[in-house]
Amino acid sequence: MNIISIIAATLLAPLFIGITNQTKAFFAGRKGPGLFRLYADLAKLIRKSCPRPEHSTWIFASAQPIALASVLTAAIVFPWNGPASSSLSLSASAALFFYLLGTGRIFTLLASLDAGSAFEGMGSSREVQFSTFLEPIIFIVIGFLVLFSGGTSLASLLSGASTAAWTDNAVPIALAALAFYVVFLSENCRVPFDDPETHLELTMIHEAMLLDTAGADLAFALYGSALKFELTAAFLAMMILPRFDSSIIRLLAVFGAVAAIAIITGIVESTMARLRFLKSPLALIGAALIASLAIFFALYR
Amino acid sequence: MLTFSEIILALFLLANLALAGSGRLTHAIRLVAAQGIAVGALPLLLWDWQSAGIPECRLFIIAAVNALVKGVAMPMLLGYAVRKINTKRELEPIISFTLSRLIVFAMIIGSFAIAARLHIHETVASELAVPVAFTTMGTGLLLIAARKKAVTQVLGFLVLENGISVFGSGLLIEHGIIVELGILLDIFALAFILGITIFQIKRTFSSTDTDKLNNLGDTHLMHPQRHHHRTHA
Amino acid sequence: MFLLETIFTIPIITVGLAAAIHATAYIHGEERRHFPRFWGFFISTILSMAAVILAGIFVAECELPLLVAWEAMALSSAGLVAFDSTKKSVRKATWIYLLACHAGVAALLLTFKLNCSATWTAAFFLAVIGFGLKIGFPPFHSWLPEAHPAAPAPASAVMSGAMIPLGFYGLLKFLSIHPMTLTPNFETVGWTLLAIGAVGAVGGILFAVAQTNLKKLLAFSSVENMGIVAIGLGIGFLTLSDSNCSEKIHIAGLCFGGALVHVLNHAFLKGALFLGAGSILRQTGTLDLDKMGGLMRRMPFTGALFTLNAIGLAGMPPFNGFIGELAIYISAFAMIATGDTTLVVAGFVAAIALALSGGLAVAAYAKAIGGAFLGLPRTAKAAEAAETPRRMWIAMTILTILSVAMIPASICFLRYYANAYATDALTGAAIAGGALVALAVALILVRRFTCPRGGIVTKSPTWDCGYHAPTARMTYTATAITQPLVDFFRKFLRTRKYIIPFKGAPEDPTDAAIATETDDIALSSFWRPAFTYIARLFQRAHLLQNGSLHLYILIVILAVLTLLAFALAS
Repeated sequence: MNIISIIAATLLAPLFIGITNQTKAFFAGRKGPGLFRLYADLAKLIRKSCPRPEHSTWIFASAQPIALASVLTAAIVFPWNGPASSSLSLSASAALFFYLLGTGRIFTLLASLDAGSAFEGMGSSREVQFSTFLEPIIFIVIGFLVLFSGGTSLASLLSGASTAAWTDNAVPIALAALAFYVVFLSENCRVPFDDPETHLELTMIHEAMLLDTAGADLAFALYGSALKFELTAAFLAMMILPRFDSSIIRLLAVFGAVAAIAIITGIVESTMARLRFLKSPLALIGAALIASLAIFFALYR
Repeated sequence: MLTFSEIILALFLLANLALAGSGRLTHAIRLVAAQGIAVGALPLLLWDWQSAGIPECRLFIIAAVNALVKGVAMPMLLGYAVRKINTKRELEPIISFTLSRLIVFAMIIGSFAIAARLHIHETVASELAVPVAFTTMGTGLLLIAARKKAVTQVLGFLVLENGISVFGSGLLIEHGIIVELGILLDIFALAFILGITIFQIKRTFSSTDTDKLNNLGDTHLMHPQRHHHRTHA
Repeated sequence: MFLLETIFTIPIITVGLAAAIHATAYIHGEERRHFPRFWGFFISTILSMAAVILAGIFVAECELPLLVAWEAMALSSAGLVAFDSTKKSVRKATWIYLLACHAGVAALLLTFKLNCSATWTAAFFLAVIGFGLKIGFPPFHSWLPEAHPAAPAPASAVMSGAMIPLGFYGLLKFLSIHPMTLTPNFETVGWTLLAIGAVGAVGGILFAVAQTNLKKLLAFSSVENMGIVAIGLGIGFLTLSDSNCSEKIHIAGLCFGGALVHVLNHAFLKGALFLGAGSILRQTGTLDLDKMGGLMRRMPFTGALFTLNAIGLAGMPPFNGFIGELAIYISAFAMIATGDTTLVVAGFVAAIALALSGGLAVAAYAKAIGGAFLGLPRTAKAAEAAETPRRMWIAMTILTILSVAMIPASICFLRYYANAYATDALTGAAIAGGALVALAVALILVRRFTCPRGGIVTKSPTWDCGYHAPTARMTYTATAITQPLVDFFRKFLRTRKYIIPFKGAPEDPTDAAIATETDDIALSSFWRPAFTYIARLFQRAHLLQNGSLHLYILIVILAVLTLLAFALAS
């Protein structure tokens, strides 16, 4: 069952990016590239060769496969079916999940430095700064979930609360979810922290790091970020959703919620302007404060 | 059990954080207006409808007066003042917005710690009311102390008063509401006086920066027109 | 049996051996004349560390051997730090190091004097100072960023990997002397270690991020890692202090086990990194990250080994640095899950400090790897650098193999030590690490099959937005990578910027440059003012030293009379 969920999740990942893009197209009054655009892009890119900067090393050559492998491992570890998942995802710690995403990040970072371009350097220097601020917020949210659920493994954190506990703790859960949504936007390089649309501009982070990545490597990078989008959205969805008895209904509910988050993200991107880079750390500090508020609420009862 | 009052009180905390970090005056006024309406609604939300039945008529009237004065009248007055004097932003706060936000956050931690020590769980209508009230009062004082514009200082008084109201309605003090109406009257008078003063300061110095009052007698005030250009360029 | 002793002996043997192999090639050219001096001090350092371990076993009966061995270790390692004594900076660093060592021994003398039930708390805080001066607890860490860049790289590796953690050995041995007195004081011990550890972990790595000298960066990172160990020990003691937690023995076991595993991981990883820094210094003649660049192509073995170890020390799975941190994370979460206010607060402090230091560690090591090995060479010396003699990277390989072996070994150890508590999470992490490696290999193979011409790639110049002649001056320097972070924390770091404006025509700004320097805040804002104040205080004593022999004799007579009176009175 768990293997089927993992396969479903890995197959569906590019669809959610399509949903976000389609929402944005709707708000902009465009027809949009269609929900399945990324699938076509990936199919095209995977068959192309990868030109590389002439002085780059094995780090550049192996970074994107390693980065994608770490995100895929995170997808394997993720408890798609809740507490009924397989033993590997049952025992995985939440720290492991987010550190796996971190492994992907550090290899992308090193590859962009390996290319030696000023733009990629700029992107990686910003990525370094943002991820530093994200880490504590993530662990405050995890700490809140531990406090709330009483378990320490990722599966028990995300098993969802019973209806009574859920209504009792709606306020702290909402605060933690709000904080994690900010993390989600920043981690996936969305507006207001980064703009996935602005290729080749000085204003971006993630896309800047991929300037020299092409062909199959670019396919790996694009698919990796789509999967990361899905994983972090699923984490957020499982935080909010109450407990379900049937694991199939639960999985469907999670994917539904991820689609809803994708639509919300599209709306946010259409209605909000990107923050100035100097302001972004302050927004993240604000998210950290909100996450801590959730803990006070939970502790004070 | 989740109650509406709890959501309102959580939003109160978020509003305090937002107020401490907001430089736009209209934005701040809107936040205070929302707080005011919430303060008005709070006694009704904290009322134990199931066991105590329908409350007295007095409670409804007080809630309505509170919400109208704090949530509608005062913000409208202040909004009018802001439009009239043509200042949109608090430009140079004495304590920076980031630091103010952190201070408010420290106040939240402190209020929760103090409230946990007070052991008043039995007597209060909502456990959260006491820490939220403390934080709100603190935020009001911070706004009064750390901002330069007269409008923001009036807002600070309003936030302080909101905190006192939350405390009163949270503790279900019998005659608290009467006392509070007195305070409300004071604040209302204060807002009028300050409003008039703001216009006077503005008319004289073409700025509403209360700091400028320290410079009374300086030579550059002889040329209000030039000064005007410098501050609003 | 002798578990603690074994764990602290392993780095002495392994890092010592690797450093010795490295040193045979590291000291080259003119310096070979001083071989006898180097080996004399090196061997005596290793032996005195072994003596510390041995003396630690009997510390409950007699503490004198430990103090003697401790002092011998300090003096012989000071000889190593002073190896390049023709340089003024080295002599200054040696003085600071000697001062720190002796202050530590002085505190330890008092510690063991006061170590009885009545004055136990005072003795404990003195022990924290005394051993903390060796470990590098803030604010006693100031000698680390001075002594490490001055010492030869193999000596730094031994000092950082094997000697610094001996402070924890000493501290744990001290705590074991009076177990009866310790038990009611678990909370004091726990909070002290947790607070010091959290400050050290976050502050240490923050200063590492701001450094441009590779060895200073590694030295500050040692402060961070020792902070992580202290966090692990601290939350372990706090868990033990809780009276109504049913699983406390297991959680505490996981905390202590995680801390001990991290000691070993840090020893191997940091040892290899210091040896790598030495190789770079030998081949390029500089430790300034902004003057390196592109070394991965010139020094492929050193570069690959340095990269792997640095990512490992940043705590990333599937490398071994992650296991120790994960054990501490899991126990911090377990503490939060108990719902007991003390444990919840402690768990949050530990988890947030670890998360913040983990994020900053990524920045620090991305800076180190990127600045030294990636991009284009920024100086002629870096462009001409060649791979080191084989011995040097073989020494690094030994430590890297040990690091890899640590992954299964530490899981077995924690399974035994923490009584199988939460070990499935650790095993899960190891399996996930294996899955990551397998998937990465599979994806590289997939790329080979799907790409035309078997994935043979074309090489082209770096794409720089239409500009087709990128030079080394356009690549991001190490300083530039962390500039946003350093600027954000400027109030705390107090980084000084030196801007060298261009002198030539404005359209040719090639000679413009910027350099930054970040001093240790404890040294510049605490120790230096404190010592200046003390020096000024003692200026007054100069009144007595005025050259008049009569006054001196008078003072001597007065002193003798006072002592006599004291003797008669008592």
